[in-house]
Amino acid sequence: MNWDNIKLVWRREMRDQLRDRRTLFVIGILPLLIYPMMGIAFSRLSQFVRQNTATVSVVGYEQLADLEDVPALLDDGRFAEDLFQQPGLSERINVISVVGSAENLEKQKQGMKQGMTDLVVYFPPGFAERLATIRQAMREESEAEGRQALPNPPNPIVYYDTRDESQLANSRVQVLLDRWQSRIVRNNLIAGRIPIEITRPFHVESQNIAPAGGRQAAFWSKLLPFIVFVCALTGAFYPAVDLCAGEKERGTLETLLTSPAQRGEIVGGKLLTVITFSIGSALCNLASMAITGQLIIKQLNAITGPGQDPLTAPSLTSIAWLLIALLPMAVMFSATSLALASLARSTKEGQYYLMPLFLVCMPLMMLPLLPGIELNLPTSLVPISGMVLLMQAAMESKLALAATYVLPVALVTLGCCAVAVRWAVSQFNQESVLFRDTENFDLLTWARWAYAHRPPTPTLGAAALLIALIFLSQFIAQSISFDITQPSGFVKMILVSQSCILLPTLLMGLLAVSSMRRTFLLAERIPWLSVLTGIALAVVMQPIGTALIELLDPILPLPPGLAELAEKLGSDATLPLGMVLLLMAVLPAICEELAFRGFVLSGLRERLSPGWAIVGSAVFFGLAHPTALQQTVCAAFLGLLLGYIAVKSRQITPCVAFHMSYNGLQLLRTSFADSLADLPRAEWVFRPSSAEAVRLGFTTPVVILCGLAAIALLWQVGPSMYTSAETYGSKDDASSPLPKAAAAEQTRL
Amino acid sequence: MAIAITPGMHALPAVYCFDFQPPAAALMIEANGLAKVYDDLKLGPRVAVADLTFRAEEGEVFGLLGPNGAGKTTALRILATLLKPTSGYARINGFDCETQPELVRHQIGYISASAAMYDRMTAWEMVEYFGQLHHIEPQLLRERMERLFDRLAMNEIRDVLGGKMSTGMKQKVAIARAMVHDPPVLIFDEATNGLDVLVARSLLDTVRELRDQGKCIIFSSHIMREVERLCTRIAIMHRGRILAEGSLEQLRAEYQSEDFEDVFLDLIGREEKRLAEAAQAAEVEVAS
Repeated sequence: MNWDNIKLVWRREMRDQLRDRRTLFVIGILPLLIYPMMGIAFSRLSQFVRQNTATVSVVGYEQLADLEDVPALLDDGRFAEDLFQQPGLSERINVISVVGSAENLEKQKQGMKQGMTDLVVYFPPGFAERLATIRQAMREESEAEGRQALPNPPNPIVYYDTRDESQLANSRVQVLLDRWQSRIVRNNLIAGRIPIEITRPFHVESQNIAPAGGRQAAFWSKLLPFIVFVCALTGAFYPAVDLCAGEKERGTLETLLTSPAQRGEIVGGKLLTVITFSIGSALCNLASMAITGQLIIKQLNAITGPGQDPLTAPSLTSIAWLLIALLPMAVMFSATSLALASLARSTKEGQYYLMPLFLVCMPLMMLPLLPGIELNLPTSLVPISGMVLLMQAAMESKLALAATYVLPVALVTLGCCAVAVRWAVSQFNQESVLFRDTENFDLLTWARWAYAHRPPTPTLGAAALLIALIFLSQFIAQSISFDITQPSGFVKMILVSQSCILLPTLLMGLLAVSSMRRTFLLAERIPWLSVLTGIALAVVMQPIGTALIELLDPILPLPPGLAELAEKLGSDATLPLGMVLLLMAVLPAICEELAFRGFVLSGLRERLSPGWAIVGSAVFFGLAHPTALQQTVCAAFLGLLLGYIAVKSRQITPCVAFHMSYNGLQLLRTSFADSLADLPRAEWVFRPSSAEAVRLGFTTPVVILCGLAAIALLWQVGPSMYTSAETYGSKDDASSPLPKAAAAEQTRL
Repeated sequence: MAIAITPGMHALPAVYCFDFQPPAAALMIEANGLAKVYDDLKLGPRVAVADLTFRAEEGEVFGLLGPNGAGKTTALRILATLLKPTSGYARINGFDCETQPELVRHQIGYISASAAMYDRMTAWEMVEYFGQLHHIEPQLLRERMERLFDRLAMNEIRDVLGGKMSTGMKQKVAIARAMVHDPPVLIFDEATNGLDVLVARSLLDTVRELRDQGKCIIFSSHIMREVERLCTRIAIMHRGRILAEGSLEQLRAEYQSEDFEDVFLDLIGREEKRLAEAAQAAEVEVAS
């Protein structure tokens, strides 16, 4: 990789893009124009709200004129001045007072349709009478005992329609009518010699004790990352299309590829250009928004009025956080756009690819805006969303929370960046991508072709797809809530969570590979010896697994509630023990082993050495247990063991046997902890445990002995131990089994 | 002691014998059993180039003549390291196109049919850019570019943007761009496409000049007159195969025709007939 060449390509592309008016317009000029234009539109709207003069028809008010002691609603042909909060506002409402009659009402309603008036307030006949009756009743009640029923009320009606003017007038007049009504109430109470305080014995005062900037920070932390990242995405995409598809279209790519610059260097230069534009676009938008924001914030604060907490500009620290996060996001978006754009033959085709990219990225950016979505381990592992959530936490000054998840978010983001960059480079190394002129691609034909040519065991890509599918289904299933205190809810939860693993696995097994037997390491007949070894290993691994949990518990405690739940499930009398064993030992053993030791491990082994493939499958196995970090680590540890057994024995059955027995034994030990502790000489084996989820721990000598036994058993795991080679039928394995004679020898041992 | 030092010679790894004989022309292009097969999802594997074998030396214009779709561009793209051959190998000045693509690219100048030129780049910038990619010293690059621009009469379009150029101007820039690092091998892929008679003639003159300077030139075309005027040796390609190869005289003599066009049409007609018969035979075999 020659840095000079990258710089050369980058300089050329930058110059090229800066000479392109379209790009400059979309990236630089448009944001500079769009926010001020939005600002102007907004301020015009607020001006309209404040200065619009409404016309209101009042029908039938004349009946109130003679009523004594009722405060005036209308005064001198307008709404009474004292009903308004600020003087002079009464002039913004013109009143047409009409004598009450059905005919007049109809006429005014028609008038509203034609826009002559914005609102019709109708006082039906008998309204004044009703007010008078109430007043009378109040007076008499203070003297006489008992209460009399009041006649059915003929209430005033306000008519409005869908026009903005009408709706605005409605909201303004409603406020006036409410104030007028409370004045009437007050007068009535005075007449009845009842203290006014009786209607409001107390007044609830609410105080916001969040730090001064807290509310602001919460507002900006939702808005800013979203806007900045969307700008970074759009800013990356247009130059990427021009740099790849545009260059292909003009035929210059062919020329460039015959220059001594390597493909990686060309991609590097182009990627730098796209990143520059992505960051540039985000910064332009941010700056333009800041300038316009100053104006809008003033307008907004003018509308909300005093009393409300005024909105201020976001703090410089939050902007700084955003800028730090912008770089990896820009790299990720740029590399993805570049790889996607390199698929396109022409600029026009390139534009089509923007839509799918947006459809994938937008939900991930919107997700953190939903209420209830918080930064935790599972959400921090979602690309883009994790970063947005991390930014929200940092901007709200929840630095401790942010610091906890910096590592997973950074790992996921950097991982995505690396994958995207590698994808972009690999696209440039593919002839079929660079010279696609002859190929006529058709999805259906391709799907048919891919199905017909599916390999016997999965590719790395298929394994990655399965992992993605499993995580996605788990993510979706997260939104389903189960009442796990009820047996039925618990059963449903287990079934759903296991389906999230089993269904994608079976789907991929059917569609992506031609040999299910080799993919899922299925033996023709059950190798009983291997099953027994699996079970024996599960027994001796109990103390070691428990020791691991006890070791992890102080560092990674289970979330509150989960420990009690784990304990309760074991001893729950509502579900028969056999059922619990079936749900928590047998079912997970089958589903998870088929997925992780079957499909995923086979797929990872396509490209990785067995060691790395085992590590990889163990990590994903751990991540598929997202309830608690402690569980994730334990599962990953057992995943290593299971992967080793699968690779060495080339069979899934010992893994299933191990998994099933391990889970089952753990469950039984918790359920019968008391009876076990009462056994004679139990103290030689068991001791009370410090960890919440473990009721019965093991003594150190037992742990050491079992550790030795486990090593011995693992040593024995191997193809030579179980059956002859033809059971596996796999000729592709590098670590080929011992010759048959030696194998037979070993079996006898 | 007479040694003809040609401008392209400094790039040659060949060892010269200091003899009274002029040095033997060095082998520049060697293609051996080149094949390129594309996987087409609908039609199955499609053979673009099959078993292509030829050699070209310095000071020679090797012509690839063939109708559209004969596989000329694919063959040249393999030589230019843009495509990897499915089988066989190609060497340029001793470097393998598949395993040493970076070294090969220093040895070649590639001029494609599209005369590709960046729209928002001037002629000078374009040639300079490729010179820089070849890591030529700034001073040397400047001098060489001044000479090239003079020789190709390009000073008028020095600061014209690519988007505003005619096809002829673009083709000139492409030649200057391909020659800026003074490569011993030049590859012209249907370079006269879309050029008017005047410009095409001047391009052919340039090619001839380059040949006289000792460059090895491979020139593909579907226009017989160009090939006749220019090429020292010719290979006639059809459906990915070389049907005949030799100097103009050899081909005329072999096919007993003065008119080269007749030779060409005759060859293609025979090949089509042979293919049709082979297909029929295969069908009969399947039926039986």
